[in-house]
Amino acid sequence: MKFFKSAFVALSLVGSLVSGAALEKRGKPSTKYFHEPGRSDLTGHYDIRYFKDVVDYDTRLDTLRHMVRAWLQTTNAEGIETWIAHGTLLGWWWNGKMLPWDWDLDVQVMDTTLVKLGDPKYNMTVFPYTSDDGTVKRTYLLDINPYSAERVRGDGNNIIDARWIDMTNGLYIDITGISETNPKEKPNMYHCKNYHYYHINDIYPLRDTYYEGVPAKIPYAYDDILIKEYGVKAFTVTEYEGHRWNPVSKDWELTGIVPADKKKEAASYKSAQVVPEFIKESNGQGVFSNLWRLFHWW
Amino acid sequence: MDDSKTPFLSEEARHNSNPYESDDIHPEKNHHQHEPSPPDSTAERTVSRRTARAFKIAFVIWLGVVFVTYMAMPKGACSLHRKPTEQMAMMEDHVPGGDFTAPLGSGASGKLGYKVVEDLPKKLIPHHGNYWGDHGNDRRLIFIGDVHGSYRPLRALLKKVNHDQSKDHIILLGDMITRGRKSLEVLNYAMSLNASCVRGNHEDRILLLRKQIVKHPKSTHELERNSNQKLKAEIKLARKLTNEQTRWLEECPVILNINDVPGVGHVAAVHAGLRVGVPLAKQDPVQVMNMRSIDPTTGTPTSEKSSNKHHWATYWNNAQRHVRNPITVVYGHYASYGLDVRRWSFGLDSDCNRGGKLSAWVVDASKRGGTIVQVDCKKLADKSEGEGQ
Repeated sequence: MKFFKSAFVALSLVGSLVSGAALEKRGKPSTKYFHEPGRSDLTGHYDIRYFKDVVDYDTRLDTLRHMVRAWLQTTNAEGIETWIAHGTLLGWWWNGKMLPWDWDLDVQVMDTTLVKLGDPKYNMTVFPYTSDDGTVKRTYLLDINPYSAERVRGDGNNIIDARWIDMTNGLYIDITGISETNPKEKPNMYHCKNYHYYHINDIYPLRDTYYEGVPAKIPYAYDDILIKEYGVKAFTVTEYEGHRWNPVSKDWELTGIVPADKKKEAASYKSAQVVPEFIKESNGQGVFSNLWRLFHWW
Repeated sequence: MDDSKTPFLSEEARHNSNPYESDDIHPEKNHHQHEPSPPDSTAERTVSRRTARAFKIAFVIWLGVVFVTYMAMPKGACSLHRKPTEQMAMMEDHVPGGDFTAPLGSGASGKLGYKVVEDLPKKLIPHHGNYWGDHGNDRRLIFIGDVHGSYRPLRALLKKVNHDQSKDHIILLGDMITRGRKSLEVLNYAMSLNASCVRGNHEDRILLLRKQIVKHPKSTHELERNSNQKLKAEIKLARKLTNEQTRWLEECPVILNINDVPGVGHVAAVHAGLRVGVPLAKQDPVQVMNMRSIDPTTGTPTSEKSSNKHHWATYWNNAQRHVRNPITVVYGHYASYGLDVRRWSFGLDSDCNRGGKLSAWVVDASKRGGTIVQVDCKKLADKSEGEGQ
């Protein structure tokens, strides 16, 4: 009996120590405002509040297209100044549409615009959208991150200043603001919270153009910005992420070829049974072909 | 033969082991004298003759096979040479002389609403007479580099070239406004002379700001408050433009195309540069207004300053050597290279507004290749002339 008692006391002591340690480790709750269901490519691009299921290739593209049109139309109507950035801008450069392997779209605003968007008229407001032909009706939530008031990177959990979220499946557009935080040492250099720096004369004056068929704005020195961010190769590489550029139709077409490290994403691609295409070398083409090559050795 | 086997032969005979040999002291010598003497390498000669014949036959057979298979194979069935990429095969505008296969149709082409190419009217272009009654004309074309609001140097330059409004046509190569103090005077003067112009990157900025001022006056006010010196000055200038001036500037094409310039040929006037291998109508307007150097790995023009090796004009001149109808480019923009005359390119931005010179290229039918005329801007500048308006 005594043994059991002492054993019980010992165990409970140990137990409390362990749970105490565990509690210590957990510490404070995370400062991250926006939450995604996961962190991989497949699950990291949805807002957890509206996430239902991983969507397939066609649904994703369709959602993103309507979403960016809705954003651009809404901001045009409300007089909010915004421009497309990062991968979205690169997609504009290629053919005025989005790059089909992109999981989300990026737009930027000035930090003064963020303040404007924080108004209850915009923040946490649901905006309805109807497509041009009236067939598609969606609703979008504009959610401004309260940490957007902090204009430096901070702990890195809140580098996205706002999101435009599709309430049907949780896909979103990342909205980031740029601000000049060091006018003495870095005058006229505006930056977002993710290490992208821009000179104000590279952004302004904004250019008017079309993106996905809707009027949009792009930075003045978009080519310099794109080269700085992605390198000159971004303008010349025509095969990327299982897609190939078709110069006649000016579209990025799905090839069947899936890079080895993206096999999982292949599941979300259009063709359900993606069989990597075996690319035949010309050497393996048969006896006569090789004989011919032998004779025409030059 | 064994001596023991021939007991009947005499001793001499026994020495000569071969009974068919002649009876002689030096049998080897005689042996050679009496028999026909083939050369030393009989065996080898026969062999080499045989192999030579064999080779000849093999060669003929090989030729025959080559011919037969070549004729028999359907065209394009086998590709020994590197197959042209899909891009090249599908590019409807593949222009010879291009070093890189550019993905045409991307970039700013067609997306920003620019008028890309305009032809200069023929009546303004000088030309020779000929023997069949065409007297030609004594007109001149005067190309002037970045003026940047330097009004007095411009007037001085035109005086130096003996500008005659009835015979001369001026072509301003962009960047005629901003930076200098007399942008509007320059603009008004150019308009009064009916000069041609080419859109420069600074005109581009002013016109975009002008559009913004007209459409969103409030946000422009906000921008003005938050912006830096340069942007503030640009907004101020954009406000001062009249509608007529704006219209005139909008009409400036990105590329001014001039055919049959005597002594030179096909001339293209642009602000910054042209990309090799792309037809004029398909040039990316933003690149044409901003380029300085070419990225060596991809052939993409960028506005970065670089060494002469990567200067876009180096690529351009190299390419024009192989083109049947080379195009001579007249441009400004690259002030750090100053006056830069090459075989197929004339760089005329000699940094007037920062104390350099204002350069002009004067072309007429009499002097092949034209003349370069310059004035010194430092002496002509106002004491207080400088950055900003």
